[in-house]
Amino acid sequence: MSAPTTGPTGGPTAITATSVLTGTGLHVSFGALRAVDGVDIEVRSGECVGLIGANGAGKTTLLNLLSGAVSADGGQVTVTRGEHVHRLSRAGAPQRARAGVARMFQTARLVPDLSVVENVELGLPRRGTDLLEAIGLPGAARAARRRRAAALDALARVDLVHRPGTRAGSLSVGQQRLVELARVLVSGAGILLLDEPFAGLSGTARRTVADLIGSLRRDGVGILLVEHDLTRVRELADRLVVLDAGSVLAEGPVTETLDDPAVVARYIGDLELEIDLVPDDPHALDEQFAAGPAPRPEPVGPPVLTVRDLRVFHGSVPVVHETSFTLTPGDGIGLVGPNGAGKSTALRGIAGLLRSTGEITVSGTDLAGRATPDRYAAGLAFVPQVHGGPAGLTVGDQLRLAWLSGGRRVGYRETLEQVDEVFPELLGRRRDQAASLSGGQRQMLAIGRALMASPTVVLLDEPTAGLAPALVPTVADTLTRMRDRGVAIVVVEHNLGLVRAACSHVVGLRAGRQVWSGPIADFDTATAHDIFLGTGTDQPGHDPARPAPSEEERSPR
Amino acid sequence: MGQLTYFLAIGLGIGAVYALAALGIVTLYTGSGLANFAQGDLLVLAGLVAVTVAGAGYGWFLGLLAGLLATAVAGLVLGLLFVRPMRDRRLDVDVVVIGTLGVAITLTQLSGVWFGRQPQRLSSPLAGVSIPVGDLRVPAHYLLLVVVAVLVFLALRWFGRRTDVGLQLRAVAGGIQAARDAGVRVGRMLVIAWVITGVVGGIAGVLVASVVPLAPESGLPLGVNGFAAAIIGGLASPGGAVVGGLVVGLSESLAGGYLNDAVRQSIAPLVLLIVLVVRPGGLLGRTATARVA
Amino acid sequence: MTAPTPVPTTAATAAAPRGATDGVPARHWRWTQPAVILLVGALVLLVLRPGPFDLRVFTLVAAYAVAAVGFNVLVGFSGVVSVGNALFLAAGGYAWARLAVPQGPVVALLSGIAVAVVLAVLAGMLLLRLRAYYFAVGTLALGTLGTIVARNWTGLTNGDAGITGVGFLQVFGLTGVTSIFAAAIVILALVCLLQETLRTSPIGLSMLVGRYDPPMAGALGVRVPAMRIVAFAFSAVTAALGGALIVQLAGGAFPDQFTTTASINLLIIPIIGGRGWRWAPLVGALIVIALPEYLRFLDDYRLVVYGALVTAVALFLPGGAQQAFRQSWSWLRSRARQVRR
Repeated sequence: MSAPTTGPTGGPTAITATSVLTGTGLHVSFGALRAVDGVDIEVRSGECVGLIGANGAGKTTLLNLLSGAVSADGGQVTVTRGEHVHRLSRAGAPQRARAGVARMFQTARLVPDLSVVENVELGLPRRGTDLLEAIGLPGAARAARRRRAAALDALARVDLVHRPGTRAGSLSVGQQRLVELARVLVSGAGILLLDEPFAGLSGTARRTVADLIGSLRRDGVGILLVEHDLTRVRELADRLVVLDAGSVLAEGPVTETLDDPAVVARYIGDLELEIDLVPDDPHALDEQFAAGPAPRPEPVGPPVLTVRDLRVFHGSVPVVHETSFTLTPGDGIGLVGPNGAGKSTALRGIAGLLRSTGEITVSGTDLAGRATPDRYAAGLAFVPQVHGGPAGLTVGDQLRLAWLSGGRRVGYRETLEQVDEVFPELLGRRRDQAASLSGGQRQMLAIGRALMASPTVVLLDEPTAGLAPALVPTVADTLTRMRDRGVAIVVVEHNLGLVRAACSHVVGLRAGRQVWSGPIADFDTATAHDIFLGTGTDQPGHDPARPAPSEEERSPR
Repeated sequence: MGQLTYFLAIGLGIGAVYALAALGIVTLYTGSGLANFAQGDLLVLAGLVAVTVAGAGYGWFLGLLAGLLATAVAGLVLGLLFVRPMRDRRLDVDVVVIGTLGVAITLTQLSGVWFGRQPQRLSSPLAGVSIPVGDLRVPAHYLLLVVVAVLVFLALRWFGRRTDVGLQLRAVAGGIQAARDAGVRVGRMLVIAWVITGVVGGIAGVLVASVVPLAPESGLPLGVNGFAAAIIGGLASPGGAVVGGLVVGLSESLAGGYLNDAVRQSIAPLVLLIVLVVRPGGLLGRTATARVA
Repeated sequence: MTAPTPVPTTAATAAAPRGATDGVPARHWRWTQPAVILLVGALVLLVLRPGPFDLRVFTLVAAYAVAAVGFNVLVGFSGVVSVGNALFLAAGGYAWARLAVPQGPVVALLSGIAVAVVLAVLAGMLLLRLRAYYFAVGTLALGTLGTIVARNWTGLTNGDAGITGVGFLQVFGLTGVTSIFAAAIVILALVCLLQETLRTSPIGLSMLVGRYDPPMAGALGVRVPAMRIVAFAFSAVTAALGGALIVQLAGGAFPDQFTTTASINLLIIPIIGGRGWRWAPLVGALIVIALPEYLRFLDDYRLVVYGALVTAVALFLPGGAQQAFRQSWSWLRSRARQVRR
């Protein structure tokens, strides 16, 4: 453990004696998207650097560039190990791993059919004699014993030494994560790239992981930590790098950086959305919250969408637990919460794209257990976040496809005219490939597709993701017009300004649980901070008409 | 000169058969991501059914219909069989290869049991008609082959672009997850893709039976050549499949005419290997789609 | 490749008894399997004393099992599907047919293996960077070419007439088919030992992780393409050995022994046995080679049944015989527990 020589906010390009990993000018584009756009980053020995940013900011892509899983369009990567300086800008993942870069992915990636101890042995450095050992030459047994002993030592450090022979696939998510850490321990890596290591872990496992990160740092390992839970980041990181749209937005000591208003706006969302009523005055934000949105006639009629005790699963792992809400025609619910809270998962569960349990009713039709096309035919429409739609289809194709999968309650021409009223410019481009549209037009197409199905309820997954800020009011306006036509909407959105402008109710999710629900008027800055940052205690739902969220702890099956 | 034109004409006809076989493979691959190693056997099945029906005195046209019906039913059965495991998990490559190879074995053996193991030939409706090329005469059936291949290609295009089912098939081809998000009944589309594959294979099989005598064991070489054509075209492009089929057919005909029969047999696998090594994405495809990232 | 989400879809789905195997897995099981094979082989010869037909079938099973061990490594460990391994079978077979008498068995075996490995490494370097389907089709073309060469390069292979009069292998003072059977059993025990050694070695583990999760393998420092070439070369070695045995048993080398059908059989054996399982080559060869011989009562339909069985296993029992064994074993255990209560 050695002290950094250039001070806590040392220049990112400065290669100091203790820097173990340096990336300079890294950039990569996927098609037109500049996923990482000129990032300089440095990790020093024994240091934990937190990497945060909104969804799609490029955090995971940056880790991929550093680990070599994705090759960069440009920029340098240097790894220092002892006296050796490895220039690895063009090296693939295996070469970087051999230079001491260890990578952990968001989900534990073990070979399920191998035993725990064999999985750990996979982390041991490759050696030239491996090939000889594979054909059983003398000395193989001794080498095998040595490897086994090293693996068992590492398992002892993660407190799993009593289960070395268990099939890795039969371990719980948390234990698999610990096995992965043991694999890192035996590798002798000098740099550890961690992508949300606490996701899906129970309390004790979280503590073990945090302790291990601490002990690795004491051994001089440099750690780059992507984490959404800011409480964890505060606890573990020495330094923070905030990414936004592929570049570094802010960098520096944790507390100062987290207090930076620009970071707060980016990370929690743009609370100040400029839609007519909000002037360019920063103080207007509080006034807006105080005044509440323009009053809207109280919705009438029976509920069009009822969701009760919704649990949604990824495979057999429940990701969303006991979420409940109801919508009447023209209602708008905003599902908000930090990344990884399960908002999009909840939407996919309602749309039937992921397995779910609980009650889902649309206009009196029970949809539980029904296939997605049946749900769409019953009046549900879903606007996915990746809004290009199926590849290779034109705008006209996509609209027709949406009409086909909807209920076909209204004739095609007629529906098309209705969509034309809302998005006149869309129909002019019917013969163009959807991929050739601009971001804003694509979003219009996505919403237009939903409208083609003549839906009663539209589910929207991050309708402003990847949009220029100037287009956000247009989206808000579209959503409002949809509600005026009596269509109920459920929006997953990180831009709280949009939620305030377009929704009548808010449901707050954190870690797969409903932590808040209430009318938009009660959704103030403090509540938002509470839902996102988890600084205060969880409050039960405000609205007595909506079932309060269950606070009971449930461990994943 | 006349000889060259003759070989070219014959090559175009043979190439049209490979193009048809490749079109079936490409239809299924784009529609469901499955590579069908049993396509050659579908061809043989249709051809032998047609030979039998026509031989029983019902004529060529009824034979064609019977052959198409047989492969359409086979496609339906296979579709229903393959959709179920695809519902809950992505199929591994080895599972698909073995699964379709098992189908190939079953079809070869069934054909052997039903129709005998001797090579059989279907007399063409255009038998006796021929087109003079220099001082040689090309049977008109070769022209028919080319015309039908073009017609089938155009029909597939029309079906894909102008019909609602074709639209949904293209949506599945554009990405299963995106299609699911859009509410397409993916399973049903997969079955339809199999049936179309069967019908296209059936057309190819009935027509080829008038050019090459078909035995149950002919399925494998026909399938290999069909695959060669499909991969040369890029595996996911119908236009490429036609081009690939013609490339394979022409090189086979020229090699057989000017060199010897051993070279003729090896030309399709050879061209395939060269394309895989030099331009793995196919002549019309993109290299990036074929290489491991 | 799209999203790097590993989807373990194989025998992993077979229910693993909870908390059953918590001890350190024993390393020295690797000797048990060869010992069992040798013992059963000896029992067959000394106690069972099968008739000439049965003995030929058993020998063919053992020969195919030898060839399939490498394929088990290729498909089961590395996840690579090749439909052209008859090429390596042919390399071993023709080398044996031409060299066994003039140069002696050791030279014949080694030169067959050498030719097969060189072919495998060359083909692997050219084709293994392709995606799985493209690779499978490429090897299919390679195998087809191999058959055409065998039929037409009469100077080397004597064409369709084949090379007869291979002479006789004599081991342990035995003669005739019995001695071939004994040799096949010994070689099978040997390659099974190699298979298990490989599986527990760092290379074998690297192959497995490269099959399940190539991005993760890269992050662990595994060079996945290199591992695939090693597996392909290993499959060529055992295929060459198996080819020599097949030729010796048939008394000659003919192109018909090395067609695509043989490649397909080789591919089916480990899958139907349960890819990656150490008994898969033997169990698979019993099903693929011996079963059709004993299905003769089905007459013409025996290969129809066989083909349908192959499809059914691929689609609905991806873990093959191993999955069936495991599932019936855990079912039996749960039944036994219920009875005891």
